[in-house]
Amino acid sequence: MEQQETGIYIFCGVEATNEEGFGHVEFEGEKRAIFTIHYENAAMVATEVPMKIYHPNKENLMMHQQVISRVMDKNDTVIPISFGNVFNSKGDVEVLLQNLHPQFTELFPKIKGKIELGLKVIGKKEWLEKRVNQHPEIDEMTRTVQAKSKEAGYYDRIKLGGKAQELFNQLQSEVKTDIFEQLEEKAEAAKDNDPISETMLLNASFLVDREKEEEFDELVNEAHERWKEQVEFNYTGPWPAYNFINIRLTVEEA
Amino acid sequence: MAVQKTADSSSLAEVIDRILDKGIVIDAYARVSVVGIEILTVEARVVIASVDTWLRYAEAVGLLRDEVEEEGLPQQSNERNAQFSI
Repeated sequence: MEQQETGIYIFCGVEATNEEGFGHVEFEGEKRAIFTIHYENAAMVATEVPMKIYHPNKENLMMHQQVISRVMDKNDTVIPISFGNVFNSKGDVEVLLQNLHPQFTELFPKIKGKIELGLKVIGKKEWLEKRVNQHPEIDEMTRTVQAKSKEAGYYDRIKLGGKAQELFNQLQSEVKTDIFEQLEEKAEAAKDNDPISETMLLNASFLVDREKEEEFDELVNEAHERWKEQVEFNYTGPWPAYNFINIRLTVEEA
Repeated sequence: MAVQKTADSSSLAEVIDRILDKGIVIDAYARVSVVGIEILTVEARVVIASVDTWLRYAEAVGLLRDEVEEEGLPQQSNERNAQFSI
């Protein structure tokens, strides 16, 4: 059989001085041991895999996140790394870790014992329609558009779209004031990402002390009580601090 | 309680929303052809509470299939570079 070249796939960084075991991972059908590569008080959680590009299919993405979840169960200072990074050797990962050490040192105390919680708020169709119907001018514009052919009503459509967007911005700002800002007060940090669909009114992440997780859950529930007729809540976590760590690495051409 | 948290690794859409472009992100060139990582320059910005999302919704929608097609993702190195050159 042909000997395949292997590389080191990395999952996340952790604060750890001693080697830590995180068991095995089923990596594209092969069981592989997870190990740590160390530099001073920092370590990378990694596994050895065939050297190739790993496709971000469902199985691989879930595998990456599941390993990080498992690490989070045992270690309270986890720096997530994006999917799909393979290095030539453990030595390369060590050099990477050395290079990142100043950033890691700065980050560790900020994320120690903290978790990320995600909250997406999606407007219910009936409520959105009700809000639209409160604006007679939108109704009138809709009738204008409907009375014309698609081509003739082109600019009317644009105007109508603009008006609808205005209304959604208004709804987003209501949700932001009543849900996001209240939760933000109780979080270490909060991030208000752009909604990823038209009916999404809030796409937020909160960095919360693990000890305050239950308290935060309750606050989310209180907000849900106030809004449950109008919107759906999609509450997820605990995640590592994906939305609060932004380190971009580039390779310089030699 | 009325709203229960969904475990972090149970929703593909939520996972995609995070693991492709957040946390530590490494340029596509570095993924397979790291020859002498000494030349790796660390252009790191450590941000607590602010991060930009480059992944657009259209791309995410394309990802919500079981097997992600190659063209559905910004994994061509030049495409990714364009996004990273911010």
